[in-house]
Amino acid sequence: MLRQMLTRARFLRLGTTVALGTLAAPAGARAALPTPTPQGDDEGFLQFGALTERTALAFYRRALKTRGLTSGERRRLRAVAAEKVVHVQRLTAALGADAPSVLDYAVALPASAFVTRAGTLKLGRRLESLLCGVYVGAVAFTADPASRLLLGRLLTSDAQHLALVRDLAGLAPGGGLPDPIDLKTAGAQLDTYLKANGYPTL
Amino acid sequence: MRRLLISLALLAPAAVPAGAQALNVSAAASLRNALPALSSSPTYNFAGSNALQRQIERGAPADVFLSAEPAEAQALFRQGLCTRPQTFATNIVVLLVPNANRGNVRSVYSLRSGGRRISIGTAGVPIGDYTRLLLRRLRLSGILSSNTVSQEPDVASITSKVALGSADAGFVYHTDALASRGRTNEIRLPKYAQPAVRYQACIVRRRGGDGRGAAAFIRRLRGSAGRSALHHYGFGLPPRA
Repeated sequence: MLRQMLTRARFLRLGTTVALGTLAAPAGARAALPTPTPQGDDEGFLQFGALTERTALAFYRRALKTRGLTSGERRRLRAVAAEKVVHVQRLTAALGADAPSVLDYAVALPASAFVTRAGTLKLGRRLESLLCGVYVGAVAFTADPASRLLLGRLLTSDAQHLALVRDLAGLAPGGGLPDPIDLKTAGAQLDTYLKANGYPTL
Repeated sequence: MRRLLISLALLAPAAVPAGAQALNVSAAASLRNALPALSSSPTYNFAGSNALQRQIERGAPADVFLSAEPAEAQALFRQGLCTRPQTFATNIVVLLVPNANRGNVRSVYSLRSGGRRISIGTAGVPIGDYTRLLLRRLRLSGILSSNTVSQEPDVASITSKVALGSADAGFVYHTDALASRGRTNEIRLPKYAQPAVRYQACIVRRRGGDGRGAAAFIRRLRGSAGRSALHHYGFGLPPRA
């Protein structure tokens, strides 16, 4: 549905944002950004990003303990984890007072996914695809230009992370960006990895 | 002997110390079922937290303030009108629909098609603020303009509207949905978009207030008896202090 809603104008704007993001932030969105001031529902993409980046960070930290990875591969995963920390910080700053606190949610990744190298990398691909898929939609629909630029840069960086986990799994890097995923679908997937702290027992 | 008893009975009210008067507890409307189950002796005043905050600022004779979000209790604390607030319970926001469900609301995304009657809290009331934040996180703020929206001063009014069928759906706390079970159904909302609903308690500082009684009430609320009552009525609990 989201794919149908991407008009030609929006697609061009998306391309421009991603291209600018690529030129401006070749190494994981490190350059200074204008301060995002989310407008209206922009917060939806930022909130989703903040929690999914945090989930991905927990994934990379856990993945480092998986058997069957070479020291070179561990070094690359460690570098990605460091970039995820920056992503979480950027998104938390953009959300301001509305940012989710670490006290609110715990990440609950399935232990079975980390038993084998293949299982670990499969979960990594799923998380990175989720991030990239939502960010593709986000750069097309975010109203605030600074928030859009931030999300574009994160898309650039996460597309590299996706390429890395695909590469480690022996898969081709994949052509272009993944298909957009709407927040309804993506949120349902993210929920399976989250445990909300202090939730009433049902 | 009989005359003596009558005399004592007449004197008794005058002999009661001021501190023995019923404790005045101003509490968020969503606590209206749990608190009387914990203790029936205080005089309760249930309303929207922001309305209660205003009453206390204007000198209402409250001893304890129990707010459904930190903002109100923290504001009173900053003004020196109450002690440092402490979190004692948590909750989540859910979508409530009447049993008959004439609006055919199956999920929060059903509301995107518009044309339904929705009941939400007024902006500034905790449930109203939480609902708006949740809708922004779901990118569904548009449903507030594509549907007919009634804004209520507290969560009890939203629950009543939905239970009576005057609204096709309403955003309330999980605990209110539990209390109206039988007349309504609860629809869960995505976890990732949930606001952090935190209830906070503080002792109101005022001349003639029952500070000792208020402290004892909050201790009981945060202790085993309070936690048990809150859990029974569906509240989440923070880690023990």
